[in-house]
Amino acid sequence: MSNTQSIQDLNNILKEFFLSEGFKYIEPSLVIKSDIYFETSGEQIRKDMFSVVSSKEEEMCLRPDLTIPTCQKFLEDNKKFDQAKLCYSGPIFRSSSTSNSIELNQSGIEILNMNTQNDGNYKEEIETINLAIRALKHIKKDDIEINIGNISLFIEFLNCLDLPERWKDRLRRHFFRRDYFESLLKRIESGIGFNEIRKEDLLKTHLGIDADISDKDLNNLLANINPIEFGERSIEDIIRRLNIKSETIISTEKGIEIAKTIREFLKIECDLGKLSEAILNVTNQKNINQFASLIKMAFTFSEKINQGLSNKNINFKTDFGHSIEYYDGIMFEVKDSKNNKMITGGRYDSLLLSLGLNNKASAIGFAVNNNNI
Amino acid sequence: MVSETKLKIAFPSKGRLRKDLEKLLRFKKIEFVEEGNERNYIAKLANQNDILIYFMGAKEIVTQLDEGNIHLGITGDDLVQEKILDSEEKVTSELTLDFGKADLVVAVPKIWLDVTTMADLDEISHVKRMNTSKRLKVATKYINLTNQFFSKCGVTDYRTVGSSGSTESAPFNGIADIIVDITSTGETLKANNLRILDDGLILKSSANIFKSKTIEWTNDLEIVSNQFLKSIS
Repeated sequence: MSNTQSIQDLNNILKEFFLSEGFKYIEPSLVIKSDIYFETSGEQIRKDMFSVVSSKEEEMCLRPDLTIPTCQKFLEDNKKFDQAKLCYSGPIFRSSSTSNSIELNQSGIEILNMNTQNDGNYKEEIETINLAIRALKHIKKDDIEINIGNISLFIEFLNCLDLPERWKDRLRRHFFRRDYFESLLKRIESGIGFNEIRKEDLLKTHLGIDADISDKDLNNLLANINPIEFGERSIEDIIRRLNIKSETIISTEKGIEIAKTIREFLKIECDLGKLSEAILNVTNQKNINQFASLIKMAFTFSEKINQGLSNKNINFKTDFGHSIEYYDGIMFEVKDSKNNKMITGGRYDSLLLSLGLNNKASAIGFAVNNNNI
Repeated sequence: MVSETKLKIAFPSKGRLRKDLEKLLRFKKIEFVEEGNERNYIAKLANQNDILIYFMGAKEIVTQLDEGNIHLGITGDDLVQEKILDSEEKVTSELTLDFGKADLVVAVPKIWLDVTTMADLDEISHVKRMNTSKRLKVATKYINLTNQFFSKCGVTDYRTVGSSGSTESAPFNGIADIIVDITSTGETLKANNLRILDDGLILKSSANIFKSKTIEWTNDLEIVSNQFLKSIS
């Protein structure tokens, strides 16, 4: 049997399995607008994509994944935004594919708008991962390893740190861009914010004034400058950010300590059942109250997930993530004994908002990488 | 028809690059003789019959190197890196020359006192898109290098706006918010009320002699090429 034939058979078997589990089969578009990928993953995904500019000057691409086209189809077909359990099978196209072909094949499911409030029970997460395990069992793949991460824990960890809000936001948004994330940590190590010398230098060089000028005087001074020189930015915004940068200063010494704590947190790799213990080990040298909310969240997460999953052999990695950044909660992968990534998935509630949905809705799913089976 | 046995070299046909190259050739006592009338863009090196010189624009030299129509070409490495996406596979730099020096930089309106780094740019562009659904507009002639650099710096909420004229005026006539452009001394940027970001240096460029990997090279052509490079270095 040819490889193409066996992948087609696998497609059919998984499609039938998902249908029997109550999912509705859909066929998302092969060609979609590129913009949504740039918005969620940045321009660097461009090198993985096959895109053309249409006669209407819209950049269109062959879908590099199936989650976004599935969500788009859900929003197009479902104006009332009902709950939906959808499944799909088909090709995706990536130039960085490690296989010989740029065309890969996936079968997967998405559970949309089933639970608008996260009740802390992780019911959808448990249902989704258990379904992934059952799907693999259905195709006789029993020898599996499950890796889990959770961006929410990282965000809670950031909330516990004594860092300016804009820096927490930066680290959160760039969690998925590892090289740049590391460069941000290096910047924290060298200290954050304008010191007096830098502020004085800027004000003196560009406006010929001293750093101790009041906001009111600075505002008046800037108001006399031709508005055209500000571009689309307002004087108030410039002064507000200038003050934030001048007031939220982190010294080099403190920056080194904070960056060290972040690196230690991101090294945590343990059995899921020992997650809160591992986080305690990293944070117990600091002020315990500072990280109380994180430890509570980690305890609830690991206990609920461990209780709910049929497979107890689960690794947790704080650093675990995916290259596409729309995941905003749990992220998971299932590998075989030869380290082939058979399934990837996770929660991505905010993606539906990016795609135009007005209300917050839950979204979680996974895809079976059929080429790796 | 030009014989394939001759080494084909492209020289810049006009502007500062040509003047600086002619100065270097005079200093190295290398003479070239233009063929035909002044509209003819072909020349020969004096006492060297195995080399043909073509005069063409700096951008055209990059295209001809890429397509394998010339063996060597003298042009800026900013253009090579911008125009040839997989430049390391298509060309090699054989010699870096001491002219045509310029920096490709990210510059913002100088009055944006709060924006001094690429991380600031990331922050204000993200806030702009969240609040207005609009992206920060970047005017540039260097779209590929801009995308690569911004991506490396984690800036994603922007759009490039192609620029064919004076890029430095784009922020003040509503075409763009900021610019990415080439600068030698920074004086033009200053004169246009623009400021280079602290970490906004994308590329330090200079004129180079590039060798095309996509044209056929014989041993004889390699020997002639090495002699030419030795004479000019």
